[in-house]
Amino acid sequence: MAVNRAGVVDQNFIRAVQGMERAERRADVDSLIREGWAVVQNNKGDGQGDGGRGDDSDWWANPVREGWALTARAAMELFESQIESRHLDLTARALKARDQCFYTIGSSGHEGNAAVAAALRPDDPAFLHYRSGAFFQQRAKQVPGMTGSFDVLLGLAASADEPIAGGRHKVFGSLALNIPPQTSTIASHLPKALGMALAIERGKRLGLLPESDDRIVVCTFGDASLNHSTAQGAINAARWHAHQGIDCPLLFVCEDNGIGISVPTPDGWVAATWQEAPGLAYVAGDGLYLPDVADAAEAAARWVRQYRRPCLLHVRTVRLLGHAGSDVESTYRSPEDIAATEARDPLIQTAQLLVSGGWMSPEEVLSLYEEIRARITAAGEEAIRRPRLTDAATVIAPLAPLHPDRVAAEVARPADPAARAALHGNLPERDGPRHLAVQINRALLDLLIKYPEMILFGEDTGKKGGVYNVTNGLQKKIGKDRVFDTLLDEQTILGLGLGAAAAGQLPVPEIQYLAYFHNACDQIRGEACSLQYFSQGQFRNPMVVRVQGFAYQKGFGGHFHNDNSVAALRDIPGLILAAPARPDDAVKMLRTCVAAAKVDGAVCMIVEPIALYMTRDLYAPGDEKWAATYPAPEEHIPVGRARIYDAEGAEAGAADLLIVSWANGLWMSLRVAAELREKGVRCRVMDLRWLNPLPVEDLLAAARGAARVLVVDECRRTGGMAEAIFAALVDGRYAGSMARVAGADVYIPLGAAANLVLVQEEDIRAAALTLLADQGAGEGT
Amino acid sequence: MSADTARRLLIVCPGRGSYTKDCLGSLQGAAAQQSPGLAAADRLRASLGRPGPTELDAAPEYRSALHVAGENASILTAAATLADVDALRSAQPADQQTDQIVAVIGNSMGWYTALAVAGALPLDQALHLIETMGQYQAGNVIGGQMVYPLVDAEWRPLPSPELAQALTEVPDLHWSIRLGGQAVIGGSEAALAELQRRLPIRRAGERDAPFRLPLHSAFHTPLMAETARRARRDLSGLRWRAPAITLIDGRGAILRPRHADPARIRDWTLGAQVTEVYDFTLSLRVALREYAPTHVVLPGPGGSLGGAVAQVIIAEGWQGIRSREAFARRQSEAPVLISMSRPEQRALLIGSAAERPAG
Repeated sequence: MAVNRAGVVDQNFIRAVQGMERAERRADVDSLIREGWAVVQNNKGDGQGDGGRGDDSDWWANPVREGWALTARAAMELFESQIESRHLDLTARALKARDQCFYTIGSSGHEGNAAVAAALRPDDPAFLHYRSGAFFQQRAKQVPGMTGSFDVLLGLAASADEPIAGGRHKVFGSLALNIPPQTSTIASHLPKALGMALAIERGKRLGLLPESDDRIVVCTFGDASLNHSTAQGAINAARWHAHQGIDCPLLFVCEDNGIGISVPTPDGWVAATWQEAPGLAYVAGDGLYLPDVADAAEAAARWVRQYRRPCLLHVRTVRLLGHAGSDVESTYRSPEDIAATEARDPLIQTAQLLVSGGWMSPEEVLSLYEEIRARITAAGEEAIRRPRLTDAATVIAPLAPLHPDRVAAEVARPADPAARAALHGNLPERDGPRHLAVQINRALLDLLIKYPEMILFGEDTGKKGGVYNVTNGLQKKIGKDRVFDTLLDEQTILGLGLGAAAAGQLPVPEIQYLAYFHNACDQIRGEACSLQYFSQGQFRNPMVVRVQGFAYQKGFGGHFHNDNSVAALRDIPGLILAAPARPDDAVKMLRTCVAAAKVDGAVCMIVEPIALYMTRDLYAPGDEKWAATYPAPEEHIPVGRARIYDAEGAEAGAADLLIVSWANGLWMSLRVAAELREKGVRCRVMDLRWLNPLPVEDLLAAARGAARVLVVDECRRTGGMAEAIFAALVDGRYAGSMARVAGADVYIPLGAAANLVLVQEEDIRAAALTLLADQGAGEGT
Repeated sequence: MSADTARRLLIVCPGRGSYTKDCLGSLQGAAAQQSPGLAAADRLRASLGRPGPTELDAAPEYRSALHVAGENASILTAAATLADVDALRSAQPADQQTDQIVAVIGNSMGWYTALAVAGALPLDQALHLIETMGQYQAGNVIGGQMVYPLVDAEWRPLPSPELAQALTEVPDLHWSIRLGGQAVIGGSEAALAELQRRLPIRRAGERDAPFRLPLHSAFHTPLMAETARRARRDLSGLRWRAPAITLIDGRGAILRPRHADPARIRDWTLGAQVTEVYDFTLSLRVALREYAPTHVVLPGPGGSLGGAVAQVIIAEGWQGIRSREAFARRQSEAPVLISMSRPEQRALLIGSAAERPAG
């Protein structure tokens, strides 16, 4: 049977302290304690004096050890945070054994991070990793009314009373402590920490934040996740900005325990790679020895605060109790190695510091250790009595609230007419029909006018105006602080958005092509869309991500520029996914998305069909039927509302065929529908417009009036939209005939070969005729 | 008693209005008369030529002018509280402790008593502080306090939009104490009159609310700024120190033995504590959550605070108690809230109900 390392580490501490040599008691300390206890323990308050101390001789304000800045008082407080964190780990394991705790990744060995918290202010945003127990306890001490230990216990017990995630996950998070919830992250929180650091400085330049705002952002992570591309990308991006002299007050804290689950970090790797990196200050501290890590953290934090430049604080730690409760270290570490690591327990070292300095006796240390154990054990018993989540609706409720009425009101709220007149010149709604790219450009300008906190950015978005000129001229009109170019790194682009949103801005990042979103998907999937859920709406990161996507670029570009995969977007919980086809719809849907972001904190993504950007005609060259006038500023399209195209003058009532599509597929479907109508087919076309949430009600209502439904899915056959549409029709008990045409399950090739794997008009026509030949189809209902 | 069964006690020191008619005579028993706290209070008052708590308590009848007046009520409440805490401690010598006081909180003036109980001030100095703050009230009541319930008869939350609105609109009207299910509002005479006009009548226990607390100033509001300044000047000689038992103050800050900064305790006690809202609810919530007591103890004349404490317990769902009915049931079976002024509950704590004359 595996040895219980929690028990070993616990007993090691007790034995080590028992074996410590009692130092000569500092007279001043002694008198203080004697005096303090006299009143309450022995009922002998003499009230006669101060034990020889005057007001100005506060001995606890002396250095805990000569030559160090850390005071005895601060060391004592940090020690308590360390012990609290340790006992929370031990309690987690004890409760786990009773099936009352559901998370055992702990902070043991990392408790030196309490000193990092102490070096910061509680209003410094902190993006923490999962070994931040002592940091959390220490920060909780900085704000009155906080209950740091109990909150962690509620998280361990997955209680609905847990104040941030409400039992949805064990996180370190707190609104009052400026700690956005973060869980089993592998550096995925670093891009947004960077984004927030940059956004604080941008906010000051834009007048959104006071000039005096000197907060810094801190993010913590381990030595193993430092190797992750997300970490490397975020640090690179911080340096990229610092190199240009752009303020970026970000403190990276690498807590280096030398091992990632079972894989050791090469000796000296972290220091070797970062200590001389241009654009990044580097400070190292020994997280096992409080005075040293406190000095290092203080120096690093002060430097970042003063100079507004990024710094990496490299804190040496050890990992005790394995990676998690389920991790049996003995399968990959020798007993000697495990024991040697346990002997370096930072708690033992802090105890030694305080005992050898005469600040505490070994008995007092043990008394304190046991007092905190008793307190946390008792609090743990209370925590597991607290209610848990008991129904799915409650679990899901905070995921992505959407209030259509408030969104509509927000869209209708007018922008400053003078600013519109000045920046548009001629108002766009007075202009004639224009194509998609132009109308999106105008809509973005209107939104930038309406929302002074909105920022628009991406690779080539600023000066060039985008690879398709969609953002052309916006930087010139609005300014470089709000419309700007980024470096080529989609994780960073999205991280800038998350961080800006956290700082109160309204980000509209652009991903140049859908295929490039996939390498950064986790920033939306794991981070952006989960934030309201894991914080019960206390934190939110509203944003509207514009993505240029879909295929049909006449053979140009190949796979990366014609990506038609939406599967990875559609199943992201809470993501609003828009796919406009027409210029006027695109404008109205953009307004909806930005308003939803504003009022509901929504995370939205708009996939703009590249192939339709410049399209003006529909049925015949020069007919201008795909150009559209600019919608009046108060108009919008509610999320999840589809659009029906019927023959001009057609009467409502039964149809022979409903074609369901969106984007490029819509354009083709309308052309085919026109042909079919000429043959006497009563044919309607539906533009879904929203791919998530799917307009199910509109779909079912339209389908029920049609004998047959043909889905034209320009995405891949597997994981495309048709599967979802069919499922919705079946769920809705649609009784008519159904068929689909869809793209092949393949990467889009270059040249004319692209058309071999993408849906073509002739495919639609053929499928429609086949379906129409099915005489058995009755009414859709 | 093993560590598993040792009781974890939270001491809640009551505020000034707690010493009521029913308390008269409660300090005359043998136990109280052995209390160093009461003796020190009597000595202090004698040195100032004023009647001590023992004498006030021995009065043949309860008179508002005598017992409710701030200059007497403060020291009387504090001494009665200290007498009970001393009784509790005497019953359990330090070397045979089966119960542990895990934390101390106070309500309003009870904070000063808490400082003494936890040892953040030497006993005599804490009494000096209490006496000084009490004497400031002699003939010098500034504004007043008004109580209004924010729970229904079953102690379920019952928000008051009228109160919320008044607090944003009426000048010189402030939250004074967040007291469980009750709002204690402080303000000028004009502000309180306006509040009275705006608030619909609600039942608060046996009486109609809102009602005024007699002879109380607008404690814990900006109206007391001058008092705070005066206190900082008059009380500059106090020797503050880290408490020997955890204290939780009226904004929920935890002040730990050894490393709590005495200067911070002083600055808050003689500063924001006087002029800003006292959040008793939060201090109790922090204590319940972080210190997980098995019992909440109300020493001295603290019984009147029982309702507020219970309301916080219910709001917390502490120990699974989630309604007034559940609370009452628990109290009748195995009390978790122990009022030392109730002989049967006092006996649970120190096993000698007979020592204290019933109120």
